[in-house]
Amino acid sequence: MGLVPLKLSALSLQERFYDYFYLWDNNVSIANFHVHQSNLFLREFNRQEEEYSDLNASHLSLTYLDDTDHENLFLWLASQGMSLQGLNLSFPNLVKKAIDLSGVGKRKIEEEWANFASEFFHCRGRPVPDWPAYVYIQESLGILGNTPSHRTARKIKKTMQGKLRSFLEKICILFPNWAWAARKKCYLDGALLTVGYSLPSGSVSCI
Amino acid sequence: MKLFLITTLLFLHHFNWATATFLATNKSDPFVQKSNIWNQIYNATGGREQFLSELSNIKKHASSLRSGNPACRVMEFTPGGNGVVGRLCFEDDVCWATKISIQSESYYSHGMKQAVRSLKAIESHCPHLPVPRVFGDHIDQENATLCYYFMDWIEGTTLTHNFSQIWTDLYDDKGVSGDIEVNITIPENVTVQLASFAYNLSTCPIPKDECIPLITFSTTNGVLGSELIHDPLHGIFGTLKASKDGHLAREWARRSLAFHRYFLNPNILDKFLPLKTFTWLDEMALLISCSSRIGEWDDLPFVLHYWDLRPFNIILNDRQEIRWVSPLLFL
Repeated sequence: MGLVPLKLSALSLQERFYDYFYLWDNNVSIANFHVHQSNLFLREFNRQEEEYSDLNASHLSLTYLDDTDHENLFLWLASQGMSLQGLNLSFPNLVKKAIDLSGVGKRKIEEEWANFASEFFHCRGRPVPDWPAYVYIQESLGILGNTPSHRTARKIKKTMQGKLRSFLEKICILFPNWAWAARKKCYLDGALLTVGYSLPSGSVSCI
Repeated sequence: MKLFLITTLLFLHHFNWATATFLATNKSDPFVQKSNIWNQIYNATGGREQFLSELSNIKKHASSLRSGNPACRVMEFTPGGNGVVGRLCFEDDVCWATKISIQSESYYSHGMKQAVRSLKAIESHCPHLPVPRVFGDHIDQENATLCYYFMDWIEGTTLTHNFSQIWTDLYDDKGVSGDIEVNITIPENVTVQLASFAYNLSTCPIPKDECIPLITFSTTNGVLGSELIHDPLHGIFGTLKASKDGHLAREWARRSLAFHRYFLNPNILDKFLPLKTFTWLDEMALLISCSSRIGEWDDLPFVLHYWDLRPFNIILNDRQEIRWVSPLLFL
């Protein structure tokens, strides 16, 4: 159980019974999935709403009305990590609209990336790792160069960082109180050693 | 020839049965089951002896929570999505469900804490809702390997066994299209109860200090979250604390999308993207457009979302009365 904006909670009976992982595997889109008691569910919900109208919750049932686009379900599944391929089976129009770069605009993607990199990496004293996805995004946005020479330069930089990190590791052992060395090593750990978001130390921040 | 075929089939049948029997009786450890979550929990304890010791502590804890401290034993375990459920029965035949997961995995332990808190809040403020009572828990304890909580054991069958479904192949001009249509029919009395549950949960008057902190996303070693605050205007809802620029829903959506769509661990998603249908820029565009759309709901209240109002998480008794709806993250 979690907390969501009201509209994401108000999924119709059809949407609640749509077990997307299982049904997607079996080529059943939401358009071909029917729950015959959907109207009864809504009628009963509406009846309770009218009966207890003093709870200041009137019109909740309107949010439960079946929406042919199933936008609320689409937004909920997207926010819960359903793959784009999976979303595309049931919501091709909404996916098309959502990923239309001409609609979103490259500038907005640049802004979002800058916010993301700042919030999760730079503000925590860490570099953005060179994971393939991050490199792809940055190259596509022109933040990183995408020519062979750019890529070679990044490889050389990574090799140098590796050597510096080994050196700092020794420094940190010899001088455990040198905070600047620990911080720099942590930074390089973030650049070179993270497989997931957590740093090798278990922390998520070098600050 | 016929005799040969029959002999061969009998041999194969017997061979399969014999192989299965051999494997079943020669497992190196009967506690090792074919479930990822079970193995994760079992391995987290460090092996059979440690697991048994943890189990013994759980039983002692359960016993201490009942007057007279009756002894108890675990009858069976059922693996779920993020933990296992043990059926724990006392000498006097009272049984509890014990949900167990791994303390060090913050996604599991925070989820469990959230589940306990929400169940307790619902029990206190919306006692007519069919959720199980919580009798005790062991979450966030120092040096603990496992986290767990005790709740009512409910006998019944899941809603999955209480509705009918018909699957039909769909045809196009060339014959079978590959698409399938599914028609579900739920008993009317169950539908009415589901509507009632959804309404009553959405309007459950949980006070501010019992609201559930919203976990916006978690990482393996730390949880980053926003604080849920009470919205006095609506009285019956809680709202998310505003982000720096004042947006609630958009902030929730942005963080939820970033975490659940693997922006913090893109190595996972990289495994899927080689399909080349979509790219990481598409993922970025999706994140922006979805959080922008959800952001338009900034003036809406935040409510409890019982996503697990799904067939396999709803237990009915033999009179088709809903007796249990499981909280998110566990079963």
